[in-house]
Amino acid sequence: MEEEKRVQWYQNALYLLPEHLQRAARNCSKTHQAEAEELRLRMGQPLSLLGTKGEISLSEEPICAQDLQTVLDRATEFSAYHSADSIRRGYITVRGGCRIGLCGTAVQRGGEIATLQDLSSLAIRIAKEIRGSAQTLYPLLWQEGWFESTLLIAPPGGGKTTLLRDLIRCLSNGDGNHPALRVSVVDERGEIAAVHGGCAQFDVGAHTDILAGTAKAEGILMLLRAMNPQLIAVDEITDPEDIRAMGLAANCGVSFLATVHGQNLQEIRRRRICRELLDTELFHQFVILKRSGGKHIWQVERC
Amino acid sequence: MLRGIGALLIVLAPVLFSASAYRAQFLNDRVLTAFTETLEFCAAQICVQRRALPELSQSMAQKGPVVLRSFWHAIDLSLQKKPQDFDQVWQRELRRTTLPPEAYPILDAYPNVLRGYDTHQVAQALRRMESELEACRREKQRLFRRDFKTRTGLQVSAALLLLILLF
Repeated sequence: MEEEKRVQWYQNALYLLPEHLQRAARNCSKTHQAEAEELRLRMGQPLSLLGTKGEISLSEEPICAQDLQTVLDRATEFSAYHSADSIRRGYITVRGGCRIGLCGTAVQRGGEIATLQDLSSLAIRIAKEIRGSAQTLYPLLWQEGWFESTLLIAPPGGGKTTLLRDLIRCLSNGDGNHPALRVSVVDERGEIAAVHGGCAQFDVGAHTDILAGTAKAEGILMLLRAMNPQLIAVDEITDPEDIRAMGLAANCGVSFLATVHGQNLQEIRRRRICRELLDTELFHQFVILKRSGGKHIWQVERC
Repeated sequence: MLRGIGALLIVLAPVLFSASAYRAQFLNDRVLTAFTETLEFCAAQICVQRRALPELSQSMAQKGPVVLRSFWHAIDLSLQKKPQDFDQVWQRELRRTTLPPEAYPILDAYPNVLRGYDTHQVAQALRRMESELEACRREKQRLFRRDFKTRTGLQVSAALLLLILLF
């Protein structure tokens, strides 16, 4: 059942590829399809699939500029200007929640990247929604009837966003033992809820407000002023401005659910930004995600 | 009796020919005007609201010029069914619309214009297309007026000659 679902997510992402690459991508085994995390297109190289055991080639014919343009056209719904800001930042989030990472030649204007041209590679990250993945973790994050601010730590591709999304759903819906919370999400890259036409395409719960497409620091303050949240969820803290905004919101009694890249607590302490985040004392509860035998496992640490 | 029918046909023929030519020109002109309005509308929507193509085609199919609603509706449907190359969809639907041959190369550029990254540049390119199309429409109108006068004059003269011969 789980494998079928994973295969379905993989198949859902294939519409972005040109027809001949779709055929090649469909021909690989169901096991590879289920384990797929990314599809990679590099100019002059064959289409490859990044799974839990590394990259495998799916076709023999090399990718050409027209193939990359077709993917870009489909991802931007044939309106590149619509995704220009996102392209400038190096990625596009498409309908269905998949994220496409872009590589090419950066065009600079006034010292800033104006756009990317002459695309050289694309990485299509397959969106996954695993409902129930946070079911056992969720009750452990409550302390004396309160949800304790929690930081999820995992390496890239470690399942942070998938777990974050399901935790948001659980917190927003509540259960018999825990009340439902007013959750606000700053979905900067559109990966958490994949909002399209104002409607979230992933289940993020009944009491969740989503602010998509804005920087986290700005979004946190906007949500604080506008939505009176009990909990704010953000993905991938990387900027000191984010930490400052989180500090301000925490002073107003808002809890946080956030993620950072890292292996464990000791490793993130060595990084300046993360040390700054830990020094704010916003988080005393950490969930460390690891991959073991192709499966994601987590452990909760408190300090 | 036969002479009467003959005379009627001689009088009616130029009238019918002129009416048919006038109608064809009127329809062409209406479609060209609708396209220029569409381009202006798209430019405004892209510039102000950054609307993507699916939203644009949907809104054109509902609120756009009446003559082009079926055109936009077909585009909207094609884009919804399964991802296709918009260039092909656009070309196919455009060729189904009756337009003067000179207008096709101007409008063929539309999908490529939408590939621009800067909304202002996209809007500018669309306005440029609009003015080229408007120039094409005016030229067509001017040529039609000139030809219409000559053709109708010749037809009336021929009809008069035939009437003289008949009676």
